[in-house]
Amino acid sequence: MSPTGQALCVRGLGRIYDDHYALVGLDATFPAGTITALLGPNGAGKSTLMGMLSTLARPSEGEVTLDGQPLDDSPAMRGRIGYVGHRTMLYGPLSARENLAFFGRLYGVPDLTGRVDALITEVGLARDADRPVEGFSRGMAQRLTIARALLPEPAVLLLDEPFTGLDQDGLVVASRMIARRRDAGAAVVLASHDLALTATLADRALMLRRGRKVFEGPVEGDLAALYRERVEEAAA
Amino acid sequence: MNAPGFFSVVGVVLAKDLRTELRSKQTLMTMAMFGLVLTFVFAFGFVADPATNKKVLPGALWASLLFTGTLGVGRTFAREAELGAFAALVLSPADRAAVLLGKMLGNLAMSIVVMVLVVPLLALMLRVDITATAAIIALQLLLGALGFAVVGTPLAVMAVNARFAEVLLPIVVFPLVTPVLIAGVKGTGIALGTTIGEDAWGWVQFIAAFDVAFGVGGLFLFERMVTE
Repeated sequence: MSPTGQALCVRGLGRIYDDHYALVGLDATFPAGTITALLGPNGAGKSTLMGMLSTLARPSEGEVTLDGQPLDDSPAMRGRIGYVGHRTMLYGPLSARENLAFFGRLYGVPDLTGRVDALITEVGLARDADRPVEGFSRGMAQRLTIARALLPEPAVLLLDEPFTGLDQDGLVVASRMIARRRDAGAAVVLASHDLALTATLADRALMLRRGRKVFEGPVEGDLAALYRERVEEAAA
Repeated sequence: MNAPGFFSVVGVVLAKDLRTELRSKQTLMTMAMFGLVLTFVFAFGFVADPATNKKVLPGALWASLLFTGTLGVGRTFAREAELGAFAALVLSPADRAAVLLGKMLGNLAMSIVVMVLVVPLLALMLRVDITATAAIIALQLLLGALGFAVVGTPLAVMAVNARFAEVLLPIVVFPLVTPVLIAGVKGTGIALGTTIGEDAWGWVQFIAAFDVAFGVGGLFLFERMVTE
């Protein structure tokens, strides 16, 4: 399945936690077929935004649309989203193969056995495919987490610190898989503190500071310099 | 890509829960050990003449179900909480009511296993012959275990995120399952001939109606409980 959607858009998006604004009046677009780097220091509102884009959290104000339709948490919308969060979101007692097969069944992935085998091979876990995940290193579990998110070939791929624990080979594999999903037409949102790696992948950037947008646009030139200018120096 | 049907999701979730439990046996072993401890406490604490033992048995059976059942439902989403799989589960396009029903059936299955162990042992240790009424007592306990599952399973979602969930869950669950407990003790007492009453079937019907009402309510409620 190749996503053909136009974009994921947010308009006037805000989220309040206990009288504290985690995100304020955000307008932004995440076009299909692009990787948007979501950048900002701790507490900038990146994970809050990811939560609302994933439908796990409801906005306090504003709205999110996907292909012009309000992004609600209906099964049809949920089925179009792949999400990698801070945790691996896997089942420890199940093997890598069983984890992917379980989620694949929930998504109704066609030719599931073949798809699971292909993904496990691609993320380099073929030899460990039948071992319980609770015995995996963090990096191995993270490889499987990325495979889980990509399993249903989502139209929207949300990646919140997807490179956690990955070794050099894992970084190469993960980057390749993320770029391929982008090339297939998905709107990819990538939040990471690894600016160097993010710069090699991102087409656009959205920078946040204290819950507000400080930059949105294409990545041209040095992403780290742009980040220093818009986020760090502005904060100083 | 077609989202799977309702009963397909129920089966997938139930199979996954049973598989993970059969591997770790954490919840089942804890429930079974607790059930056995309760059995010994009741047997040695209340053992008396056969007539008194017979009067004690209904309360002992349903107290065992209450405590082991609550222990079980408290662990419903433990696997999901460990590595954050709950988010992946509720983000999938699978019908959330079907996910909950699969979880309820998993809880019911574990309660059945524990009660199969505890009931004969308790009857044996209290020296009460229940063979003549085994069928109706089994039905009462089955419906009672279902009652715990339908009340406790949706509320157990609190345990995924809430602090002090282990304390909070029994406080919420116990009052809600009290009607099942009373009906169960009454019904089992009537079946054994130790409680005044004409017909144990009325209490069976009461528990069945409770299960349906809370089961349907829980399936609707769960959808609203999983999003922040």
